Amino acid sequence: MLPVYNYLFLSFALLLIGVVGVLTRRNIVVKLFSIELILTAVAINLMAFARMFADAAGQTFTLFLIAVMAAEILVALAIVAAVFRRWKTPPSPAELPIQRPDERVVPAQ
Amino acid sequence: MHGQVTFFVLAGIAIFGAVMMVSRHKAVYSALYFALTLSATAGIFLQLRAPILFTAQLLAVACVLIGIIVFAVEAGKLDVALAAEYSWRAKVAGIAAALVLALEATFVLLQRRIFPGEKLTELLPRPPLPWPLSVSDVTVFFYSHDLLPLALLLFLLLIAALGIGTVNQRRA
Repeated sequence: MLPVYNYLFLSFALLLIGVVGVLTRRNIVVKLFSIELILTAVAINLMAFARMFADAAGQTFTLFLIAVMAAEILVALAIVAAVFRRWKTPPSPAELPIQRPDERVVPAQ
Repeated sequence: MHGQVTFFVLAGIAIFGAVMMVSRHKAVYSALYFALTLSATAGIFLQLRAPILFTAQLLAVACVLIGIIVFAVEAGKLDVALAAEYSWRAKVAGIAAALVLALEATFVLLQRRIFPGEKLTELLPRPPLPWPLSVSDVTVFFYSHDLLPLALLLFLLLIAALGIGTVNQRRA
């Protein structure tokens, strides 16, 4: 096995790119991919330490992480699709309907 | 030597794919470059002797999931951007977060140089799982040592499921 800092540097680079992508890009789908990139960086860390300590716990967590990645990306895409259908274009934060405590929403008849 | 070259090639592909993914304007191209990154990561998993995870990452995520995403983005016209007034603050925050992370990594590296005798194993008091993994070992592991992370993970999945249900109900 290579020294573990090789894997840590790779993981750090992916984490950095993912954070920059989440915070700088405006496209919702690219933001979603950047979050997945951060999870991939975590998976590389877990795998490297699992191999280093010959402990299968890291592999087990990585398996769960891959499952969570798959579920998360599909759920997030479904939410984006639902929001996009509801507002036609993605709303700015100021346009989102925030209900204040003194306001009551009257259901449409 | 051979493993080292393989690792650096795969790591280069992964970083290249990640940079291209973040810098592309169309979401479909980003998805394809993201698939490239995931495939390279799967190769690194195989190099770390985890063939099951290699298969899961390569087939489930890189192929099937990205295929679905590309189809959904194209068919549902989801390639959209957020509101314009949101952008400059986000860019400042992104650059600041990148600087903080870089400083943190530099600090960790310097600390390793100052205290070279410290070992990361001291942070892991739990006894290791046996290396050829069996189903009973995994079950005991999750339900005896690390129940809290598993419970948190399932709780987050529950919140996500409730969220999508609520959004769809409001839409209807």
